[in-house]
Amino acid sequence: MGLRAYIVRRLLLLIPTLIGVTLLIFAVTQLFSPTQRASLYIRSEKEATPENFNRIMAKYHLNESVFVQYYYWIIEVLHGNLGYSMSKHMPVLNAIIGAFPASAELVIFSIPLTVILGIYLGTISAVHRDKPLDHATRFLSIAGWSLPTFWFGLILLALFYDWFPSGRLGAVARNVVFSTEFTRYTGLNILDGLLNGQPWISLDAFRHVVLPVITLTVVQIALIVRVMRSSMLEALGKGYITAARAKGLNQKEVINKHARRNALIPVITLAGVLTAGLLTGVVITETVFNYYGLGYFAAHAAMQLDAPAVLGFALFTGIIYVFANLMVDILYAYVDPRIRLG
Amino acid sequence: MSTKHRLSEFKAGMEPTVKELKFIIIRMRKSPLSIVGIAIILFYVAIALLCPILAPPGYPSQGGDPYKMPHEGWTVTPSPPSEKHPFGTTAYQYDIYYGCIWGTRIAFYVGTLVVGISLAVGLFIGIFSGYYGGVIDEIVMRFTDIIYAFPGLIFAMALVVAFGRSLTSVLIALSLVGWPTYARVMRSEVLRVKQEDYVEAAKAVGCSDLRVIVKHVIPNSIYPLLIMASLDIGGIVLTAAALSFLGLGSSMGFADWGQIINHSRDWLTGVPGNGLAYWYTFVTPGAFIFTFVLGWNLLGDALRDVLDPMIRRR
Amino acid sequence: MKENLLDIEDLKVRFYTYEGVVKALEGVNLNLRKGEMLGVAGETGCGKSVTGLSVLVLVPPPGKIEGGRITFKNANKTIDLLKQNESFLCDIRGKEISMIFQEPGAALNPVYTVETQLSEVFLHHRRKELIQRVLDGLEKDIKNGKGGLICGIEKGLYRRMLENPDSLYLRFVSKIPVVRRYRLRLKKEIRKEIIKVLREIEMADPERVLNMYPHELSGGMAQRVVIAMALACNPTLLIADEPTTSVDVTIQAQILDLIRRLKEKFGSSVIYITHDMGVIAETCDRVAIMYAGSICEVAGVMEIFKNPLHPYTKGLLESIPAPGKEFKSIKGTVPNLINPPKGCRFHPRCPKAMEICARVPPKMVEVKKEHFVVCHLYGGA
Repeated sequence: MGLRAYIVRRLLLLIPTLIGVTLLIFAVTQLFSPTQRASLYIRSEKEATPENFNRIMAKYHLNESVFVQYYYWIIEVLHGNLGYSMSKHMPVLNAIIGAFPASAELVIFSIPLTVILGIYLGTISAVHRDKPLDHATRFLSIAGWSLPTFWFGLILLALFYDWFPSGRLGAVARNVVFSTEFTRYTGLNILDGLLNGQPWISLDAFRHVVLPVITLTVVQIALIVRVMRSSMLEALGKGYITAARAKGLNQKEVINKHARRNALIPVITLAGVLTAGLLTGVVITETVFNYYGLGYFAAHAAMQLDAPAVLGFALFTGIIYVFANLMVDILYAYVDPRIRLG
Repeated sequence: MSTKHRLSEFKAGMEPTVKELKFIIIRMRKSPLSIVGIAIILFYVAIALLCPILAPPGYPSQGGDPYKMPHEGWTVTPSPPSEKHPFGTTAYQYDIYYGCIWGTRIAFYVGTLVVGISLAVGLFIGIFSGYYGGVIDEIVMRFTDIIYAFPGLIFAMALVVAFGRSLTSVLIALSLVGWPTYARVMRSEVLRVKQEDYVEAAKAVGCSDLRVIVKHVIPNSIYPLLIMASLDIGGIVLTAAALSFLGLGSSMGFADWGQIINHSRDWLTGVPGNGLAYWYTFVTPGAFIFTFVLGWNLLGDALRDVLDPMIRRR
Repeated sequence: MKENLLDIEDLKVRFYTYEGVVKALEGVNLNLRKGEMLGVAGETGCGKSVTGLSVLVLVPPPGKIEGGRITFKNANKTIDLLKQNESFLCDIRGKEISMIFQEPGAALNPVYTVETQLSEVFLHHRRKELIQRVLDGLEKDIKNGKGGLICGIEKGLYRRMLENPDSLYLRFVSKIPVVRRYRLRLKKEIRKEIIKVLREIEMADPERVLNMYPHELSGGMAQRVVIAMALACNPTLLIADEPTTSVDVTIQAQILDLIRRLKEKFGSSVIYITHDMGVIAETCDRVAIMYAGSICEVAGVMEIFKNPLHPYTKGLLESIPAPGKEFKSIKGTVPNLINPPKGCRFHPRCPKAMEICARVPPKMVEVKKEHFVVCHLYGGA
């Protein structure tokens, strides 16, 4: 059973899992009355009138059995109609797609930083177990985890706002990006800047992303360090480490080649969870730095009790977690060949 | 059976537990992290107990409630630290020093209450679900799935808004969001312990379900929950502070660390040209939050380190 | 008389655990002659494995080697292994002294293929020789006019590898996707060597096994791989730590046979650690009996079975079950090594214990030629 066969199997499993997610969200919608549910189908503000609600209830059979309702609802969802968000004055799907790139940018920079730095520190901690270096590393990472995100963010902003301002773009850059001469291919400002041949925009966007990324990394690194440390300690106690040493491998090779790969397995799961969590929004960081991504969108919608938006967001979250799990599983199978049989 | 007999039987029964506790304490003493953590927590316990001495209440502006921060006048701009106000004031002149001291009590209150409720509810449901399995288990699992589908903070925010903004709403919302994790962990531990031989043996001897659960299942499956709880106290305080920061916490003037910062929302970023102009409005209260949570996290992490190999030893 | 290859003198090993200090080895004295198979026998927990690991200076923490000397005759020099630095030991391990482990499944890293793990040994100890072979092959190819430019580049890279295998330049180059195929040549040479070794181990279908992962191997195959790893560089001293304990009886016979034949072929000396006296009777030249961290008796195999002197040895031999024989065991249990008995560690269970045995630990005495005992009954005071 090779890696490829395993990947194909997991991809096939994807479909029932996604259906499961939709079922879950649908179950939550059933907690509302039919009139409220009708708001999930309207596409613009004009449609939110009582007469229209009756029409919608008839069209989508909202008074009939759950199965019929699910059928019509799922068709709408697959067409991209997640309802209309009153708080944002645009269709939910558009709002989500609009907010996503900001969160994606935060993830692209902070996850690799967190994971790589965390693995390195966790290894050091494990190798020098119970010695001052171990205690220092653990203390620093726990301190990071104990920081109130908004507090740390505010302090960073107050100290460095000159070089690393808040928001996603400076005023000048913003005018350019939203003008007609600039094409927003991806919504990721750093990438778009390069694609449009305007590297200074990328630089500007990069300057704005530094502080949020640092905040996120400092706060989350403790999680990776802790897991890496304990799984490394476990790996170092195994028989193959002594066997490797008996072959004549030195300490560095033993740690880097033999122990580390085995220790990475739980870290991969954690990295997946972190990525999904970040993608679905870090409310506080986004609020403090005015970096308006999915978290900010969802928090805003929740505070306005904007049901279609919140539900649409929950559906989106579920899908992201499913894909994150998929990535984690595939990475697992690449690192640990024993998984490929299961 | 005489009392003396019962007493000695009880002592004998408790012996392994006592031995384990001693073992835990000895190990903890060796780890500098846990010592620092415990020291910090004790420091805050002292502050919480000495509140009336450190920051005597009785100001007219408080209206008889010691948990309302005193303020002199209604000047909007925060005042920097001075002799009268050692930590400065927030917008509308609330005394930060007072708020920080009495906020300690609120922090303990929020942390222990929410974690206590989540732990108790999660424990109960987890045991039920894990031990009896079947339909109940399925329903509970789907229920927790639904709660998991929403990121915790956002769900809590929606709940607070739905219930109306107050400290009680925050407590209820955080408990509702928190118990599923405990239930899940308890359930999986119960499933694991259920298979063990000593449980089968107890059942074979004819112990009632309740006795099996209380005497055998719970003592062996509860350690991960205790570790989670000690780490969670810090996490709950952080989340509550975050909610306050977003304006969803307690009412105006309430002595809660997050609320102190929230008062001065418009001044947090300072003035153009000097980001730290109003540093005192958030640096000190935030430092209190940070160190409080740090103490609990250090304790929880050290606890985990000690209990983990023990769990594996089993 | 043959000369000593290995001399263990007064070896002390302690394990610092939470419950207390385990005095695992208390003054072990042992020697190994060139070309012989020395059996080390004793119950579980008596310290045989720790002794084996100490020769390689690989006692895992919380264990520490606290005293003694381990003298090893390396080429023409005699060195004390316990005084060498780590890099010297890394050179010796796997090349001159190597070890076969008890559980083959645990000794192999589950995330790497058999080929990767075997090639590590070659890369570590015979790199220069193999690189030279690659270079020779390259020269030949250039002469025959095949792919001049690429071969030239490869030649340069391999020359660098010969001088400085850890250079930053090489490490950087090895990360570039297409360029790093230059390592294929070396891999091919290593593969030839691996297959040679596997063939000697009598592994069926070596090419297929190379690409397998440890969890895909059967117990016997895995153990052969472990043996292959140990023998890859023709070690002078082989330590076999209960290699057949976790394997089926049928495979056990095969592996024993294999070890014996390889010993003959390569002239290695073997320390065979086991608790199975039957295996010792079959394969070893001399035997050392260990109990609770110290040696009891050392003698030739025939001698020990015919004429056991130490009460523990007698008890051990008597307790081997045989059809028709009454079941006999040594009374008592193995002592807790955190608080071992004073004096002779066996005295609480010894049917012939004397008053002095509880006070003074006995010393080793040569009772007959080549028959040593550590017991007050034979004057060990």
